[in-house]
Amino acid sequence: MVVRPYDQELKYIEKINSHSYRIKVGFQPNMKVEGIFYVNNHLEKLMFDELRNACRPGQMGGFLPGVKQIANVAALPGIVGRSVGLPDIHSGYGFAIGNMAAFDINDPTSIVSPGGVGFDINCGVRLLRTNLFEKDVQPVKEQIAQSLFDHIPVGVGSKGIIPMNAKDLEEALEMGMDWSLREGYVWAEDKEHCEEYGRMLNADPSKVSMRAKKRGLPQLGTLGAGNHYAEIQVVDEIYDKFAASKMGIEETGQVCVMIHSGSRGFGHQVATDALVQMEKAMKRDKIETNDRQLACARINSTEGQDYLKAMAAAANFAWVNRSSMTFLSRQAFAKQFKTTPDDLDMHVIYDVSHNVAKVEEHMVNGKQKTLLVHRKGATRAFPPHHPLIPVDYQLTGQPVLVGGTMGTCSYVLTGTEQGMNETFGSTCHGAGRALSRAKSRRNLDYLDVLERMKTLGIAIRVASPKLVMEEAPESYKNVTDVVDTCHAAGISKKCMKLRPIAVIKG
Amino acid sequence: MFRNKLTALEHPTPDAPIDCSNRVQFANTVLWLEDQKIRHYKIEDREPLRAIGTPNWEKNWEAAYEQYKNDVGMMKVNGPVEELSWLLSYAVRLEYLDNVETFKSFTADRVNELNKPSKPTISSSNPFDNLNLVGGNFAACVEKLAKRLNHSTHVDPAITLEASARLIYEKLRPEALNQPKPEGKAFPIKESEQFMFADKNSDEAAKILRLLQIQSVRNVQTSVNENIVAIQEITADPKTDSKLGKVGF
Amino acid sequence: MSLFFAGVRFDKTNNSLRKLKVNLLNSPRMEVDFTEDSVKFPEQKFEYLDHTADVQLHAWGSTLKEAFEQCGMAMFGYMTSLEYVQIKYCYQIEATGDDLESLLFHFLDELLFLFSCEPFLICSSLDITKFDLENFKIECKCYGEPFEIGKHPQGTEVKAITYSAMQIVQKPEGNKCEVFVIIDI
Repeated sequence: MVVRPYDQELKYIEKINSHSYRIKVGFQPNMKVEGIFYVNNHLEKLMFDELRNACRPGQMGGFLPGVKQIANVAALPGIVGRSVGLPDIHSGYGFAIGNMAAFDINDPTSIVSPGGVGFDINCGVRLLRTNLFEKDVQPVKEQIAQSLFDHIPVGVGSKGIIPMNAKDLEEALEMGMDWSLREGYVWAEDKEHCEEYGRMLNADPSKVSMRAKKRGLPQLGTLGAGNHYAEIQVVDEIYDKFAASKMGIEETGQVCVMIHSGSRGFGHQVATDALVQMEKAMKRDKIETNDRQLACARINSTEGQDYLKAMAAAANFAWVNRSSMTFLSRQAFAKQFKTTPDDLDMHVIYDVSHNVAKVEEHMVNGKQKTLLVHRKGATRAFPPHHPLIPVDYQLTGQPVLVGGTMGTCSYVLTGTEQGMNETFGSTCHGAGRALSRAKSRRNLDYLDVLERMKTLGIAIRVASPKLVMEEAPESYKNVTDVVDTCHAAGISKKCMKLRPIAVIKG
Repeated sequence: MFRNKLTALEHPTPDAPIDCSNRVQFANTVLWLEDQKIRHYKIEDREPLRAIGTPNWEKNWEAAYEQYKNDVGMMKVNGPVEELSWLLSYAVRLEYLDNVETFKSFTADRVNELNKPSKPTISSSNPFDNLNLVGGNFAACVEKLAKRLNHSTHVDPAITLEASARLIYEKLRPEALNQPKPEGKAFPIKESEQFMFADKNSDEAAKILRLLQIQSVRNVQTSVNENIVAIQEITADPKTDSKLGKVGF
Repeated sequence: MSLFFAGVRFDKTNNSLRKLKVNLLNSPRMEVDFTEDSVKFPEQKFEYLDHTADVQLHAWGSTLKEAFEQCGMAMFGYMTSLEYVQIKYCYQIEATGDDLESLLFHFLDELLFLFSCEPFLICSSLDITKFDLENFKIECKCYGEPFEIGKHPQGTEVKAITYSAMQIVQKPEGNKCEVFVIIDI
């Protein structure tokens, strides 16, 4: 890492407009393209504070500041366009969380990096609608929260309740949501409203280690811990009436269910295994990176291909996982309201992936190119008329589900043409951490956090109450700032805002 | 050769040509005619004609055949082809005489008539196929229908009619009429920003085509979903087993 | 917290010698015999340091071996409160590496794996019985019991061990060794 005083560093960062900054080539060594990041006034301060802190002498911190990480990604072989930092960016392992980068598949030096996908492969958000309204749910809020908690296994060490053996797992890894469909856990329409139709076709379970499969098997159909949650939300504001109605949302007060989860221990192990393999590939192919954490391999190398196939299997695992919890949520609601999920119209509005690398077609300098797009803590946001989005959203653009943090609002956005041009069709994924976990624990008391949920009228069921302050809104960037920045910058468009009334957490 | 006569006599393989120079084939055909159709001899008296293919059979058989020709009263003809032809005609005549009443009505005209409708029995279920699409009357009626349904016309009346049919299917058949009207506002396609062309009219046309395409993709997707549901009927058996893990503690 | 393990009681039925049971899983680990006397309860020598998204484990000891043991305990301590863990089983694990860092990485990864699937073991005591720094090989006895919801408070899930800012500090003076590891949670 180049060490320069803070004021020297600032010379490489240039404001483009009110919502974006350019990171010039030279900020870090070997940058092949520029970096860009999107912020508003509040988020801008957080970004620059982080950089200033890192410039202090004697820092022994774990991760580089977000801006440095964006620049290091811009130095990876085969990158095209720009290395993009989204408004919810914060530093992470290798790539910052909220960083997206695209690599030209036809360039033989191009790389794939597990650090550009993240440990929780295909972590994502699914939103179900219901035909219930707040007035129907408010009186039974506590019961329905308990019922969800009674149906969905949550928290560290929890095990899935959907019977699975090793053969089922192999099939699920290969088939993704088609497995859930075949077994009858989900509806045909659910598949239609998922990225990739809930199945990555290049998945190859034989490229996945036994260890990953063993970690995955007991955890299928579990929510997990940390920032994963299931929430009952009500539509608070509608900004785009037409797009909302396409999603089956007619007016404010309508009740939805949001599920945020990923590929559990399975995906974590796939990523860990790949990082070990890639260290070797880097030495062999003499791939130079600015940061050892940016372990990567050429896309067309054995390690690269094996990772992509294993990653696809992990992505399928995550879809089966979210589908299983969709099934459990529908059961919980059906029991509570003594009716069927069908009669409650509990359709999947959409299912987005936050941590994944995908092969996509994009225009680069006026030419169509096939790219491997890494999105880590970033959501795909394709514009209207894009062939890869469901027919129901052809006119509105792809729905983008942005989950808030415990007790804060969530948003639904839609993809835009400008986002397609500027950020390879990518936008923010959530709030993005601002405070470290340890700091949250020191500064906040979990009883205060729980008490505040109560005063906000939010029912809460949590497996590890003593850790809720780690996930308290204070620990995160303000999701409204993040979403407003994306909207103002034009990389996605606000459609509606959702407010939680019940939270189930690990 | 002799296909018509053989067919009339319901020979099992009327289309296979009979090689009259092949004495075995010839003899077998003669025997078949006597056995099945002519029946001039009593069954036991047909034995000499039956001895076909045994060693040195020709001599005995030829003698029996000479006798048979005399017995059925064959006139003097030249060679095996004419002989077989006479025998076949004779057999046909005998068949006819057995059932004069039935066959009397089969005149040439009648047979032609009977042969005709055998083709359209597999008639298309599409009523358009049987329509006479030429003639001013058709065009005028189609135009009238289009006017009634309030949609524009095409120079080709067949295309106009297809449009009418589609409109009736989509909007006016009982299932469609019973469907609740979609709520909410229609997509403001005309006011939306430029889609493809700078020219306003072309752009509007492109938008309309786009909407039609979306509608047809929607239909495909719906039928895909219906197929998945049909398969789920067979494969689906979702289970949960709360013994496997602990929930709601 | 100096009486960290004061609450640990032995399950009477499990006090006797346990049968040796070779684990047939692919991992080089097995359940082994143990007696009460063989379990050590050292004082806690670890802490959790600040990190934006993740947590940094900081463990120390008078030897590197002790620092490694403490680091493993620190990871388990993040997943539950160790004072609720009874010692019912002992599993032996093996870990190998190419250098000191990768040895620590694989050691922790093995421990995480022990927790993540059969036998779902959560450990309250670790005893490294072989600490070979020439071939970078560790053998460790892990004492604890299967994680059980309702009995063990749920902490945070550890997704993975990372090499990020990993530091292994050996100070000859004062016999103090320290390790820093960031775990992804």
